[in-house]
Amino acid sequence: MTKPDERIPSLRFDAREEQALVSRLQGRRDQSAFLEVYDRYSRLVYHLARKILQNDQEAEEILQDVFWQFWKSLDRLDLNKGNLSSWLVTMARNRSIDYLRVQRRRRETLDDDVDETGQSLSARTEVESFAEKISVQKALAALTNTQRQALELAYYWGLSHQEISERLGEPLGTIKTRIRSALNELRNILGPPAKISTVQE
Amino acid sequence: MECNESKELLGLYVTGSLTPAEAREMDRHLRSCPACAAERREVETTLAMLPFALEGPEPPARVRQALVDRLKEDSAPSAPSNVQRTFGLLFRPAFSFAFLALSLILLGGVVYEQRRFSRELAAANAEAEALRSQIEATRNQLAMIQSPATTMLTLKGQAPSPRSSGMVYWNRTQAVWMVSAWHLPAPPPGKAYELWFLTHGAPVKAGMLSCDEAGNAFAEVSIPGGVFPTNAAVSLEPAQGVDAPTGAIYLVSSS
Repeated sequence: MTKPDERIPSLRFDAREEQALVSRLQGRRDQSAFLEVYDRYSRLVYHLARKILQNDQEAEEILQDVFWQFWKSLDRLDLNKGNLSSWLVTMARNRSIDYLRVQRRRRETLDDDVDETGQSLSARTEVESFAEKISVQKALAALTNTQRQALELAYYWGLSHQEISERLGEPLGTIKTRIRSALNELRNILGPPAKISTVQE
Repeated sequence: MECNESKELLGLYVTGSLTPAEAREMDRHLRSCPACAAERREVETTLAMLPFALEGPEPPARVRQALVDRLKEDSAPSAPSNVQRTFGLLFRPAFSFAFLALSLILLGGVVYEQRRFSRELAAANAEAEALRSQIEATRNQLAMIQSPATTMLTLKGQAPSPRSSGMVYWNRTQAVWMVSAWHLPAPPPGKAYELWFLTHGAPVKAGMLSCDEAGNAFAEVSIPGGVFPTNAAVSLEPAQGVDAPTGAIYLVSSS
């Protein structure tokens, strides 16, 4: 299992911080707690929306929409079902993919470099490094190209297994196996999610 | 579905890449298998880690400012409601006395008409039970709308009635559409509105939409296995419904 460098800070809140924030949010709808969550995770949500939509302005709309939905759904937050970042990422992904499908503005041709950003995006800016980024980048690098490609088509493009099979010209069974093995590999490398966020403890 | 098949499909289930029929089978299995349900949460958390590897610029400060402004509006005290004003009135001394007297009269009435009251109470209980069921159904619908797995399609009024509109709340995990339509003209006698799943192939019937007097309609429909909708439409058809659209299109989702 890849251990993040202990000198590199974690982006995510640890379990205690997260529990305290959720208590403040649900107990007295503490706006400063909400802004703490925003300041920590807005970049994550924004980058995900940009990756899926390939458009800065639309990513801004998704960012605002996701955090406002978060604020309005505080009563439903349950840390037993997943941590804050997981909730926000899931919401951002679903909203972005929905937006994408409605607008139908995705390139039809499959780009070999699925990590490439589109022309409608502003220039890349390197941001500070943090433990989760390094861990996940290392884990993705350990996958085969075909595993990574299938996983990204499902996750970032929101394609069905049938569509992935058609685009890659591979049998359905191969796609299912490839995604399953990619996930198993990621889980083996990253380990239980809670352990990744403990680098500051 | 067996656990080994569930494990095979979990990743595709979490990314919403399964067919509706497969997703429904997974739903059923996950409800009855705590081990696979726990594994599903683990897969979701693992997948939710992927965006941590992304890079890019800082989000613009105007988004944060817009949220701060919305928070201020959200926390601004609202004007007291009619109910609050009425109850406030009851606690003023003059009104309190009148309220007490009225209560005693009402209590006397209850004592003398106990039997009638019992019947009314039973009716009220039945009504309360019906309301509880309605609230539960509404709560479930609200939970579905707020679910991260739910996305939306906007229905736009077409030439026969441009002011008509609607929304489709689409829960991809449960393969369910909740459809609301507004300001549909009253259908002529013998006609009714029919909802369609628009697919890459021919449209597939999704059921009839009944309007109230204001032209508003609501329906909850399951997406059948093997149907892969991309959009929704509503057309005016013979009241018994048809297998393929023949009448004018009143609503269609934009794409």
